[in-house]
Amino acid sequence: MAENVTGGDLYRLWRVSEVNLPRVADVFYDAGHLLGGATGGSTAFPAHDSAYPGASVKVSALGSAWEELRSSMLSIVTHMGDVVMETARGVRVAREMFDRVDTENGKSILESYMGPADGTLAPGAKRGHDYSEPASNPPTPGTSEQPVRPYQAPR
Amino acid sequence: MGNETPRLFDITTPPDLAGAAYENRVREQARVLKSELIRQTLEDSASWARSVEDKWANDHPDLAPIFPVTDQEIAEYRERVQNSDYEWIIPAFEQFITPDPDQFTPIIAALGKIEASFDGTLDGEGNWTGPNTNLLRIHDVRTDMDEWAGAFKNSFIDRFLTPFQGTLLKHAELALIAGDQMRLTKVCYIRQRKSVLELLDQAINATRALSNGACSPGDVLKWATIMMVATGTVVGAYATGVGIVAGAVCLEVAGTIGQGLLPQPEEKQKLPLTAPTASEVAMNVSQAISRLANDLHNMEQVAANALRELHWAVEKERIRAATSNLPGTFTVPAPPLANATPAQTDQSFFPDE
Repeated sequence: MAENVTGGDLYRLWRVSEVNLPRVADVFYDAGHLLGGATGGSTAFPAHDSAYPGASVKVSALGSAWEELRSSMLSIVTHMGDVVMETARGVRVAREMFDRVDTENGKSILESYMGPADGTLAPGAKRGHDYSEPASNPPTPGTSEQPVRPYQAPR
Repeated sequence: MGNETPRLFDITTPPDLAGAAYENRVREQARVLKSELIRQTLEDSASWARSVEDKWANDHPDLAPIFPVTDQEIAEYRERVQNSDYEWIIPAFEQFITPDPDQFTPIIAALGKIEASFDGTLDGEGNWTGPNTNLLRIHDVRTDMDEWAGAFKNSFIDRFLTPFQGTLLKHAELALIAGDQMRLTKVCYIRQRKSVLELLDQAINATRALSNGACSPGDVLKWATIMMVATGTVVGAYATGVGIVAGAVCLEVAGTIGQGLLPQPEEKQKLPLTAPTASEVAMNVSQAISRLANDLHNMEQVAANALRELHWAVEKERIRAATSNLPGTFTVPAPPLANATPAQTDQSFFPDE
């Protein structure tokens, strides 16, 4: 185990996996929501084409062609969102592996570096992280930045 | 993407072709056409009957005038013209009320948002810059990872981060191309509506011209659909294209910018609506409706094929990337760090000294 890992080094990995990559993944998932939601649907397409020669049942060739392209685009952006989240997970696992509990104060070296979340800081200690700055913290659940995998939207 | 990309053309439905305004206008004009045709047909037959009678009377000056058609039969004929013969007019035009071109607006808007979220530029070193602040955090990731070293860090940068930035613009381009096809489709449906209103106007004029007595060659009323679709390969319209969809035959962007640029139909494609009698005008209208439906169908086939070709091109890239586990046009695999065991990570991933 690398003994020279500092709180600052781990903090960088923490930022990569918890703060930055989820926001990147969110861009792809958001695109998936746009494609998968009702806005990307095919109700607009008029059914003019016979389902089979002479059929009275009409389908829309244009609509089904769009559904094909749409599902392709949807699977691509969802896949890329997943890849980014998977990458973040790999970085997180590495960081947790390197992190270890400092026996002196019962905190891990990353916790010691970042400082306590409740704002109580020991006199003379340095704070490596600002918990109150939203852009420097993991995306808040419920906000538009939180990566949410596209759902299967009702058509 | 360069400025030469013709990404924006006007797709606002003109107010007279939008929503209820158009719907009411079609029904109103179809009613007018129907009543004009009924009026004119009765006039035609009355005039024909009179001329037969006159001719007969001239040929037989010594005989009393005859009326071979009874009043009851005449009443039945008028009844049929009024209540049956032209009942098809309004339903025939009502079929063109759908689709509303504005139904495509949400799809176009969604694709526009996707395009905007990935849009940007690549600098000489392959770094992406653009307005999306969330995507820009990719540079923070690189800065943070630069404090680390080892094989896993290198593959993270070289196999994930750098090719990843290269895919971003292609997502934007794909959304742009798909969006353009949707915009052009919408324009075609707008044109269809314009064609319908023009046909109604001309048909009413052709019917009225009969009772005005003037049917000189100068009065010939013609009508043509303006549905004609320009097709071309994507490569022409997208000079900065990524090349993957270069061969796809799509609706042409260049030919259709703005609703003012409706193509001028050639003379031979025009259908005459004028005819000696109202029944023949009605026949011409029926032919014109069939032409319009055909042109619309052809346009939909072209648009559908364009979307299919895009789909095939995209799927080919996606499958190639997925099966090779190498960076592709739209996708990149996760870096080896994502699947490393703790022992591997410990060996090949460490802080940069």
